[in-house]
Amino acid sequence: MTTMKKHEENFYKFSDDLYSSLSEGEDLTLSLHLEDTFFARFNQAKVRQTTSVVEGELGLSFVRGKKKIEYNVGYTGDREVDLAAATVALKECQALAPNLMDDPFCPDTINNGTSSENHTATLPSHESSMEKVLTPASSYDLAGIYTSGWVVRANTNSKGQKHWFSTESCSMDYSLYTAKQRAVKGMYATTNWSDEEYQQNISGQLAQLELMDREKKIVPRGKYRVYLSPGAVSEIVGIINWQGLSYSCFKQGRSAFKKMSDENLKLSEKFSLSEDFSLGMTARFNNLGEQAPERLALIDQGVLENYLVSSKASKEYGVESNFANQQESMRSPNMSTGDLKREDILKEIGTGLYLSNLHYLNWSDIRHGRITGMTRFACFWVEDGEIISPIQDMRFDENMYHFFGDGLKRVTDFSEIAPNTSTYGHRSIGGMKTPGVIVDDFSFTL
Amino acid sequence: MKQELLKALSTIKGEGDWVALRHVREKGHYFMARDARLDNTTMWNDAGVMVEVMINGQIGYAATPDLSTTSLHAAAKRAREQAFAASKRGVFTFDQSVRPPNKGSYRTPVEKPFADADLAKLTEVLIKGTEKLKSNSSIISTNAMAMNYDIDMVYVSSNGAEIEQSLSQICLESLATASKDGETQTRSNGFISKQMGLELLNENEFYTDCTRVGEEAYELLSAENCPSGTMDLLMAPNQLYLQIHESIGHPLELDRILGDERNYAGWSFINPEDFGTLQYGSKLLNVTFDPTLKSEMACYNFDDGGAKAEKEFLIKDGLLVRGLGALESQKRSDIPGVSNFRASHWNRPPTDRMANLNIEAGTSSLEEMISGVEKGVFMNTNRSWSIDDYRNKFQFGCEYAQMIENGKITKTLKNPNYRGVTTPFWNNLKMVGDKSTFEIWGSPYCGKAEPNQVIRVGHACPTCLFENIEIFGGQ
Ligand SMILES: [Zn+2]
Repeated sequence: MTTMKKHEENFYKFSDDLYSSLSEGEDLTLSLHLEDTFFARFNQAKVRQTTSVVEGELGLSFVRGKKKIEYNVGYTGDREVDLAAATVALKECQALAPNLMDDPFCPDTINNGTSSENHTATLPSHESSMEKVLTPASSYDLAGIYTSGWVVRANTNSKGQKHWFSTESCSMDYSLYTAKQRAVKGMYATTNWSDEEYQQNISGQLAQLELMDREKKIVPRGKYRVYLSPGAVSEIVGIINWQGLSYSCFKQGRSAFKKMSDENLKLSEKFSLSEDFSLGMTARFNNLGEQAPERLALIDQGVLENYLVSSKASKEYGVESNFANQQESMRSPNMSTGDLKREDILKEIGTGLYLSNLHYLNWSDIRHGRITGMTRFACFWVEDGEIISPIQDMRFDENMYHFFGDGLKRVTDFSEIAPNTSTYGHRSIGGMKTPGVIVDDFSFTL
Repeated sequence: MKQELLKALSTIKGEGDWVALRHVREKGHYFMARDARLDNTTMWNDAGVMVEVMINGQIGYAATPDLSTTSLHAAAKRAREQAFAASKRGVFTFDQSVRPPNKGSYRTPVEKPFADADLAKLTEVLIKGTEKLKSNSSIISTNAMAMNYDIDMVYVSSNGAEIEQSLSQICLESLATASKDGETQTRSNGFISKQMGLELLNENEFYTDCTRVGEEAYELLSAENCPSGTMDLLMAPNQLYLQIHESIGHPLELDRILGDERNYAGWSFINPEDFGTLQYGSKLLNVTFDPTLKSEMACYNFDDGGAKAEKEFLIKDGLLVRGLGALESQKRSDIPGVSNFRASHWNRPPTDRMANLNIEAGTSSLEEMISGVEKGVFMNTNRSWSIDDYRNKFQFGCEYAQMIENGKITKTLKNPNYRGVTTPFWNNLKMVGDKSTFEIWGSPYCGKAEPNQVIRVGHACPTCLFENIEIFGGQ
């Protein structure tokens, strides 16, 4: 039996043991996060810090009638230790629940079935990996992080549901700098490490880095025609995902799409966005173990088709659940491609800006869909279809009803996957797929 | 726990030139009431150990939640192998001087421990808070939230460090959204974050404040849009604290200046030669790193590298004199720093982080500042923030503002925003409020580092007046 299979069986046994402590009328859902990860952080193409992390977190979701309590405890894999910690947590829930007010929208605990998916990878050993990632870049100034290892998301409940998802991968999230401190960003993520592919990835960035050494242009504030690369678009989709398409946020007056519903506005026909688990990057089950549909259209050709609805919001607002997670955020966004070919991008910009990356986006006026943020890394001034020079960083402040509406002129015929490299608390899984876009009259304010 | 760690240390200290163990247990609660009912009850209790092993001047870190001898040995072995592999390509060769052998302890002064609280009663207070927030029928959504962290940390090292610290932190939020005739506005209490116990939550004061927040949300519905133009900006501590965080704190972090953070949060516009020479702000600007200000979020006696924490001036009379960097960064850069080596949890290594970062009080009363303004805006409570990766070009938006004309507050304004560039902005600091305007704020959510870490910070400051600021309103 593989180690992963053993982890899976141990978790099911552990779950059953814990469920035996439940009393009549009580239900419990267990969500498990496990990971074994190696991180190496680099500066100046040298090692700054190395960290390996073995960790587990167990989420207990306890329900008794209309009372619900969540409790997170550590999970070590040692059955006795874990059972002791989880039992203490369960007892606290059992003692507190009767004294709490009802939550009328508490979802029912039901059996959402069984699934098991394990994705393995061929990766370098931790010790050899530093040599592998630094050697091709050793004569350059490189900063970044190499992350390698496996992650588990699993879920069981006292009604018999069992879901398991494990995935293994590595990624090298890096940037390269010239002597003048100009930078380009690169990312190599894989389940099957190849020295050759990695070398090609670095070489691709080095070509762009050469352009960065030309004299910088200070572009005055104003409106410009821009190309936003798939990476830049992924930043925008990322901020839209923050309170954007949540049905609860819409009902509570906090969604940027509220205006779209209230005033029956449409975005450009060229803009379509869906939650798409066929990308295969993350588990379809949420923290309750509910299986979301494989594909759910959110914006279809500019028309708002669906908000993300959790089962709790479904109870509260009387609409059908599409089994979103608790935050009602996209877990696997996929934005549709268009017909602009890669070789035509510069010609299509004409005169304007080529933006590879954006940084630190935030809603500047969420109710009107306005977003502010900065340009970052390889961004260029383009004249008559030719790259002229890199630019001094600029701040934009623009309305999504413009840049995904009237202002959206072309969408590329290709899209790229941006893996979710976030490691706040734990290592994330999943990612999104976005194309590049050409937008007219994009506003820069500083 | 200290005795167990010392025992474990004695069996693994041969794994490197220097070995340390840092054990962290974090317990917490999160209660959210929404629209007169209980919406979310979450608790947590989690612990683990970070094993640190130094070989050839490199420190390898290995984290495990399993405290058994076998597991700690395995972690020490992993840390050793990593450090050894890294030593061929280390960015710097450290020695034990970056891990001083201090002994001592710290405990947050707490009057009402969260652990002893009647939790059901607490949820009832929050539910009643949401009822107070609903000041009238135009309020469409209300939230009241209380959250706490109780953290016990023990750190022991092979060169003799023995440190025990227990921190209690608490956050309190109330928020109301009003909507009428196509206008929607949200007002909050600004998300109070302190290092103390449940004494932060005085029931009657909380209800009074919820009523105010609800009324101000409603008031914003009929307020005028903030005007656009270059004028005076009077900033309350509940917005100024984030301005300090983003445009003083982050650019002064020595690891950013050294380039460690370039691939993620970014670099800094500050160069090493700026220390001792750069006039960061006007003569009125005095900024301190102060781990001793009682009830501020990030008080402690020792950082996570075992260094003793003391109050230091970073900016004195506007001049940049010291960076936000711990012993490792100080060694690498030769720039004076502070004790701010901090890890978010047991499963992450420490890096240079903000802790308590404050602007010292000045001499002007609020009345003096208002009466000195011919045309300006008084802004309260952050709602939007963004700044570039060198920490230069920022833009902030606030929830609530008031127009100041000819030395008097004349009306309420909605959708206030301002933008600027860091050092010109701080050099436009015209008046600094006195002690009566000084408030302690903070946040549990400062994100940085690879792997990512979210850390809890404190910022205290008076109300301050800036001149010639680019201000603008909403659509
Ligand atoms: Zn921060």
